Amino acid sequence: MSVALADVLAAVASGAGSTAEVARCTGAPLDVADTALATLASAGRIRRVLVFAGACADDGCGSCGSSRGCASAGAGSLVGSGLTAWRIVER
Amino acid sequence: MADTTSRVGQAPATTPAAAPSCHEAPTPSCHEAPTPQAAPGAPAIALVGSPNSGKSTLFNALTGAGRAVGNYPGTSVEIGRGRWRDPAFGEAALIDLPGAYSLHPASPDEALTAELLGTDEVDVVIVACDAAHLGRSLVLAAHVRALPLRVVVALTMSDVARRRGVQVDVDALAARLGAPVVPIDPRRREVDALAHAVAEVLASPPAPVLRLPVVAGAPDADPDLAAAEALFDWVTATTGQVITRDHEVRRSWTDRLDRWTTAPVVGPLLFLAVMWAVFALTTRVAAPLQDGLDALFSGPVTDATTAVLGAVGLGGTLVEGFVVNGLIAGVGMLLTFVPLMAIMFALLGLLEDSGYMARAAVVTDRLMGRLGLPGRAFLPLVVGFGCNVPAISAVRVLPDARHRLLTALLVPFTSCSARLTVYVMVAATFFPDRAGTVVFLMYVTSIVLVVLGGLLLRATLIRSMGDDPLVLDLPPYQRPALRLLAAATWARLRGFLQTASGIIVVTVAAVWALGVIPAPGSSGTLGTVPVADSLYAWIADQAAVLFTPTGFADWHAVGALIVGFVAKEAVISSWAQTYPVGANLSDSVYADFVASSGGHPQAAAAAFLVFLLAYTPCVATLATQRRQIGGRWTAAGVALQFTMAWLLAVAVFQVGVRLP
Repeated sequence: MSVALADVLAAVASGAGSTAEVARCTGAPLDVADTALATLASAGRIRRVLVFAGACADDGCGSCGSSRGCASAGAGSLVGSGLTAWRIVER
Repeated sequence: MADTTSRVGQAPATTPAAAPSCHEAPTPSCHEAPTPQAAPGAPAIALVGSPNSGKSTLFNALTGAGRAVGNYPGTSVEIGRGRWRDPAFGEAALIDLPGAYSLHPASPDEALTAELLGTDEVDVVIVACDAAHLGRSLVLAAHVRALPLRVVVALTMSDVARRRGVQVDVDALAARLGAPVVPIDPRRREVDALAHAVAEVLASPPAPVLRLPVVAGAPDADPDLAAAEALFDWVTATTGQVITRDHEVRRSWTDRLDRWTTAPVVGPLLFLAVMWAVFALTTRVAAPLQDGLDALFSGPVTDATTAVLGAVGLGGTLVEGFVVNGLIAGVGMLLTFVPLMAIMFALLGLLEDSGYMARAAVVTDRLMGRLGLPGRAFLPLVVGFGCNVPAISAVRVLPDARHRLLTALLVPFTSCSARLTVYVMVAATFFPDRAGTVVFLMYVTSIVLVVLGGLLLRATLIRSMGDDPLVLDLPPYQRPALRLLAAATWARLRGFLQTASGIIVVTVAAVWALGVIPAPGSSGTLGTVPVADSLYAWIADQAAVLFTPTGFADWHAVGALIVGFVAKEAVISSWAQTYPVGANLSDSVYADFVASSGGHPQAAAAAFLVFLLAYTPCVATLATQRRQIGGRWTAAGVALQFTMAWLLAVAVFQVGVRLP
């Protein structure tokens, strides 16, 4: 089952907070919702905001002056959890 | 469908003259050994893929784990380089480009990837496609195939896909893409087929680019969305053709759990309950271990050190004072917290690895959105609960300057792990039966402060600020791997100890030095003056006047807070240094708080904890803030932190003394 990208955009705009919620809102299977989000990102309509691992990896731990302190960033640190966030691009 | 065609995804035009070279040497790093690089003239092979597609694992498998890392010339984007040798083609320069979901330049990473692929510097592109998320991966693959490049698709994560009952028809996929597709398992270094495929495409001209039909829409239709619909249709048609499922997709455990963990009301309550359990368990389990270590350092270790120093003729000297009153009292006190930190890091690692913390992020995002705060700001804020310094560094990924400013000013209110040691000591001293709950409440207070600070800033300094909703791509729940959990816990514990030990040795020496210098007007002499009559006590006593309404206007406590401005890891050690060796720190602190608060030690302790939470975390945070938002805003932030800390401490104490 497919879905219209406009419906996916509308679901995001109305506050669907995860890929699963987008899937529920649009009635699309999870993998189709996932693909729809990736396609919208490729068109510049939504964008990936931050992956926790990427939050640090942009500069790399080796080049970060606080890398030793970061190693102690246990509480709440989501580094490595693979979390991705998307947001709608203002047009 | 219309009869027109377009290059997929409208990959951005590039300027070859401005494009960086693939053959430039990597930036040297003092953290890594030099990595062998391919000889000049060797073919350049770029490796692209979306984040978590197994791209880096593949890179390591191809280069023998040798990865030289450096910023790309003229950019701040980091890429990896290495040498790939294989009999199929000899030697090649392998370039690990940043993870990208598309070639639409939405970030510096993707811009660099798009720019490089648009030049003639790259001879072959390997696109890592995740078989378990094939649709997502095909979006990028289609973008790359729209460029006149030699392309090989490496199909990764096939084992994960198989476990989910997903089979990929490799030949059909290759036919759809017009490029060879090679299933690989880089973790087993099964990459021979990939090398042969690369050798074959190297010997051939690039295949014709992929062109997709553009969906015809209404005259006022968004052309970008129409192109995206065409790509989406192609991807879904492709996955429909090449994927077979062994069974119908059922609602997974992840879906079922997510209905509760991300629910609007139950989700936040569950999050609070989980965090309470973490801190209650941490303090309860660690308490006896901590007491045992405390007894060890203040008893046998101190006695043995004193005996050894006496035996070598250093008894009663400044050296004995520094070693016993400084190092053992200060560093030893910190070491008593090792079991506590280890347990907390392990429990939080468990939550992270299981995937639960990502759900907590959804809950937090929703809460912030409802309060009118930028949802995306919660990402660095969550990192701040570990350490404020990398959290403030992370604000640079926020696209809006006002979001960066707001978030950088709010991060210091997130309670970093260094503050935990003080919470535990004070909570165990003044609220022994409810220590875990008190620590938990400190984290709740931290969240409240972030929200209040955010609302205050939005109402005053940063009024105009838009926001967009976020969609979080949640990883499935998984059983944490014990080995990885242990390794992560150890890495964090080691990092904490390395940071803390460096700071503490310096602050211990400074506090000890100030503690042996007589205060102005004191009759004592250098090295013999009691610490209560020292310069350290005198300075702290002058500052203590400000804290009279808070109930902890005692020079021991205020001195510890002054040292804590440097780093919170040093609060406990400097506090311990101001009492005689062998004296029980908790008993001494309790007695002083009884005196300074007029008989309301619990209220004063609560005020102390709130002040500690809200005032400036450390000088490293300030330095990072200055880099990110400038000196003026950093100074404004410090003023905000001290003002809020003082007002809250006064309010807590004044309310506390009036409670029955």
